[in-house]
Amino acid sequence: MAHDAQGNLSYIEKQLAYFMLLVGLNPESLDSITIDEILTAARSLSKIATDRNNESLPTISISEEQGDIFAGAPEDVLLKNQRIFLILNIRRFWYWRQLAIGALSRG
Amino acid sequence: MDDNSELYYSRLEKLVKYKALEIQETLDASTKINNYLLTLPLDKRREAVGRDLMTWFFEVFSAEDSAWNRSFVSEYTSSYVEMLYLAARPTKTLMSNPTFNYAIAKLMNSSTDLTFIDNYHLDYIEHCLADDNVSWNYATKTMQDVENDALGSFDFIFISEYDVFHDVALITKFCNALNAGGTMVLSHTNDDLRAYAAESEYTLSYEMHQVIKSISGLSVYHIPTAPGHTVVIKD
Repeated sequence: MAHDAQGNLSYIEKQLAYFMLLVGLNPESLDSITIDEILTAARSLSKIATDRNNESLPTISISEEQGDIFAGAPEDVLLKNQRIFLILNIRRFWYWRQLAIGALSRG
Repeated sequence: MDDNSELYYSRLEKLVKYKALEIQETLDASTKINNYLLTLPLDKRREAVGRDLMTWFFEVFSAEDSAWNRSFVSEYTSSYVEMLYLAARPTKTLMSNPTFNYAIAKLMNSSTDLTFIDNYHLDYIEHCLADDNVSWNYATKTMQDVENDALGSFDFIFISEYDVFHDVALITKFCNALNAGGTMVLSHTNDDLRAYAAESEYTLSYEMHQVIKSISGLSVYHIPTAPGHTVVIKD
């Protein structure tokens, strides 16, 4: 069976719609919104220590005894990683959507 | 890649002999695919794509002055999949990433009942690499099939974390599609080395491995070289 460009695009847009809802955006705006706007919304969803440097939050090394150098309260480490993967998800699906639209445009 | 890594892999290169793996095929395929990608109006700004291997794979593997192009590392890490595939001797195989692993895809095509996940890789096989005169014979499954438990069953599954990173619970679907005695190889499972860092327990890689380990009757192994490979073997 040959590649189904429309089916592939449908799956990608369904995932993007989910992530847009997750960051408080309307999936109906997918055709007009920019990746920059989605990422800004994603970054606004959770504030981590690097965003709050002026708030004098306590920071600790989560495994100081092992010499690992990640300073931050555990909740900030959790939020940081969740945000990294949220943004990664959005970027990948946005990129894949461009590829799928390219495949469809060949007819 | 630093000088020590170059030296390390140059010595490993002298120890091994492959069945079919030929990294040059993947490099040549990458060039053809990258030439196609250059015709698309892709937004490749750092803000749009980050520093994600998935988005620059074909660009760096096709650039003759790229360390990724010239290095033995890529070939060596691909050899894990060839080795496991040959050891498993599967009758039915599922693969999601043939253009990242072109030589292995061709080996599978010639020696097993092959099914591809329908994604951009399949588009590249059919559109960019059609003139390679490979007599492909494959079935396809979609990601909707994955979600709907309509994958079927396979003796060998080769996918990457890219296929499940958006919903790690999907890894359960692939595990369920393994026949008894079957082997699954997942590539790119170290989350750009975060899986080995202090915040390991907060990574998707960690979460995915916990999901797999929670399924009874599966053994789980991890090869930490380069992007990381995870191997799952069903009882």
